[in-house]
Amino acid sequence: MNWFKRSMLVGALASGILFSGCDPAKGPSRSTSSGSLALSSDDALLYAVDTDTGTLNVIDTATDTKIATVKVGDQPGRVAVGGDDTIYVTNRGSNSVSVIRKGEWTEVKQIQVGTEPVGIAVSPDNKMIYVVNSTSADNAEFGTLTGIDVATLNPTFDVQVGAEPRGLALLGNDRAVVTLYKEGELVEVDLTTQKPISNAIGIYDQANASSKTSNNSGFSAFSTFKARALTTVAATNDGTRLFAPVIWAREDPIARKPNSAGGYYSSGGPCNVGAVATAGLVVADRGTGPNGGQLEPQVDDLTACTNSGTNTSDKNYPASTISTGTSGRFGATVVPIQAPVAIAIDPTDTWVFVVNKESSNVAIMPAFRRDPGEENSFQNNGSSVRTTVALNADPNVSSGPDGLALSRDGKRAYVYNQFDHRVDVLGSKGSGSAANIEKLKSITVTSDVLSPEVVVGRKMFFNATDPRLSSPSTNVSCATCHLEGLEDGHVWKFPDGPRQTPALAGRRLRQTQPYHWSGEFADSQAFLTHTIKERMGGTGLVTAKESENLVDFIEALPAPQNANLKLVRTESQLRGAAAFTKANCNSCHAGALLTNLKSEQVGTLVTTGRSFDNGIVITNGIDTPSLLGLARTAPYLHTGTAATLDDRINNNPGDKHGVTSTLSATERVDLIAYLKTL
Amino acid sequence: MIRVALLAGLVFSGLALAQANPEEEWGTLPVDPNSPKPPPVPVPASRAPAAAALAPRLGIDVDPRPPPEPNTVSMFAGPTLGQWKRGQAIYVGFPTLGLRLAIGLLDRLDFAVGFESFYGVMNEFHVGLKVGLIRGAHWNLSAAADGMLALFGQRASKEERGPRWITGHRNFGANPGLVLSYQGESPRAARLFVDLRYLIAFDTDTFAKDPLNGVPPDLIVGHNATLHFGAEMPLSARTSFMFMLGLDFHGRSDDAIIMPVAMLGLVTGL
Repeated sequence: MNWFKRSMLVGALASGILFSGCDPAKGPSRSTSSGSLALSSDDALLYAVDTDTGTLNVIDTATDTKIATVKVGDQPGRVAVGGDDTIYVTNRGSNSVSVIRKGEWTEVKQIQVGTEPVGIAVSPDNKMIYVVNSTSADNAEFGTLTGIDVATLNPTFDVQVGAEPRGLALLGNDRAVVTLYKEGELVEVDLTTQKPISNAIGIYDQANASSKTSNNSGFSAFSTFKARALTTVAATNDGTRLFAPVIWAREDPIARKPNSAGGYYSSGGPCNVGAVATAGLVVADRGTGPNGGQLEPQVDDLTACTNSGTNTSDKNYPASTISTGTSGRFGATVVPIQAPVAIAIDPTDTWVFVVNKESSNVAIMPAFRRDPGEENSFQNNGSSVRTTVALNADPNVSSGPDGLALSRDGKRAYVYNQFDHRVDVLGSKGSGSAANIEKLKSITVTSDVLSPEVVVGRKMFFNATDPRLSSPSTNVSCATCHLEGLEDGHVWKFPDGPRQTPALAGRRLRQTQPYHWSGEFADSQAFLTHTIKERMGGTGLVTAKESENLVDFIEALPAPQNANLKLVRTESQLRGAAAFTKANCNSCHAGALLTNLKSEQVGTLVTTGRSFDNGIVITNGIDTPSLLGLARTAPYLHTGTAATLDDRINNNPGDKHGVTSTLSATERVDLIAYLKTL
Repeated sequence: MIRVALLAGLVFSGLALAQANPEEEWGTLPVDPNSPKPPPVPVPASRAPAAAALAPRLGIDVDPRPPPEPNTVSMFAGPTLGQWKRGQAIYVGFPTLGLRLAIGLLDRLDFAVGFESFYGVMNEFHVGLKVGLIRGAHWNLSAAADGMLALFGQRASKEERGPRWITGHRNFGANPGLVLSYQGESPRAARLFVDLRYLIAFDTDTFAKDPLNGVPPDLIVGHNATLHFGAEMPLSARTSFMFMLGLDFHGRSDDAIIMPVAMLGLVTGL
């Protein structure tokens, strides 16, 4: 072998070593699109999923015109594109995945998966499709990750991933990360063994590290916050870092007296940012152990930064709160940001784009740094974002954005406004200014199919910037706590005691008055006036029609699907129905609504501690909630102290909450099986 | 840092130049005035009469030893090492510290490997060649070039006024150029050198400085120039003290336009 051949061999080996990490088939799934939008592999086509009409809309990005509409399943939510440009859509309402071939513009197959599929991704090698189901096909207690073979379009496995999962990101072909929507955690799944690697990465512990430490010493002066509403997760294109948008919820008691500027909810956000429910971003880095190691959370200690703000530390990850800073006497947010639901990372892994559904804007943050740097200044002082882009001319209007796609040339961002059925195209005004992004144009893809009342009501329900509904220092909407129209599993420590967020969807609001756990509001008008003005800090809805529209929408919300309820009840469930009557449950949870519309004393009042019941509930008891959709509303009771139905049924001293002591062990099991079908 | 390097360089060079005849200091042992005089050394016949005639008159002993071996081990100046001769250097300063090992493959061709570090946040491996172009009694001119592979402590998008900004270096680089040096008559005379290089830096860690302003190319080439001057000041036949000062001129707008350089080091040969 002469020197030339040797040098060529050495060069080839060196090149192989240097570029071995660049094989696209081994990298993460592309994270430049999220939610209801995706681009074809050549960026020539943009796919927008419209939930109301159940369609996939195809847009030519060269002309910015719609060229095709494909009918898919019911309530489609998210879209992903495979390496061969096949398009996959999750249909939450029909529990399926639609398959559409590029150019054919017709649904070639609907693959049945678990219950309410949401997150979807295609493996980098284009061999598998992965789908996150909100619950399994036959058990509402846990969700699953389903693997589908691309070649056969048949599911090949289904693995449990915890309760109410939603988002999904792939790290290569062998690792998936799933978000737990209510629990506020990330689950890692080994796709090779099809088993979870870990059920949590420790977000809560890191976010409340100081409080945890001080609690161990017997004293805590810190507030604590819990992440929830983890709708999605995205990995950087190099697969080293994950971003999961969250809403932080304050756990300790909130202000006893309403803040004159913002209502109860305005006080006490994490790191002195935001309010009791604040938009945030959780970062997790891929570990360095065997097989990539476990995910390592990079989360601010939210309980110990009250004096340091969010931007003073030299950390290599963006602040855990998404904020534009505050101004004015009452600390009004400069640009409200609420409900981050879609996230994408630019092709160079430098910028994170976050779509905020309830503030109808896009926030852009650096992916690997916190401080703005001299040349990359942020738009506002005290901000954790480089800039924000309003999607509507009137920033107080809601358009329900829930999809985002970034072009591969790094010059365009597309946002889908679900309520307006509109794609907004964003571009740069040129570098040099932090606020260098502008909306270039809008493309309307379809029109409303819902009633005008529901359309208006939905826009109010998901609007955190409308001054009628929320103060500038609070910036919460109804949906900030009633996530997806359901609930967040969170127990708020109000002045009148602990109150778990009740579910709304499918609970027949107009028929279940009085309202609130205290049952102090006889009608929805009074209830909304109190909640909006006293809690959310809004000026209040002006007309009764506006209140009615809000309720119209809540009434129209589809009830969550119940995997436990089949066409024919099982023997155990049928026996449980009898046990329900035997334990006298039906005396209060009566009729079709499963409530007697009265308040009852069921032995759950809290009389000690930092947050205790007081006021009307002491004499009247707790309003009997409807049990409709019970299986997916854990934890239970107004205190949230029963994590499961088993906890409640088997921990009922004095038979104050049903005569459960008369039930045998088998009857209790049957009763729980029955309750989960309601 | 720069001030310290400059000051140290000046002090060392001042001390070196202050020696009227450095060879005396480094070439002879200290003499005890009470010790017996050494026996006379035989001198060549041709010089013996003159020495014998002068010595009594001046009242001194003539040191008849041969002049010290000249120091020809150069790592930073123009001369090459010579075939199969080896040299090494360590240096510290601003912006980098480093280690360099070289061997003469031919009489006028040196091959070198080196490691240079911006104090841990940028670690760079070098492979270099030096070709002697002109070799005179005092003047030497060589062509030299290093190929470089740099590993950075953090990605470029995170860095602000870091090693990239200061050095102009990127993931890969090469710095062809010329080294001109002058060494005086004395065997221990300092080798003064001027090193002029063109530094081409290949940036493979490109990133979008502004969102939605387009994806930068996968490779950005930076063009820089470096002008360094200094001296290798022999301490012995094989060891020299080195100091170097200079300026780096950076062509990328992302980098400092101009950056001073100051180094102190030792050069030894085997």
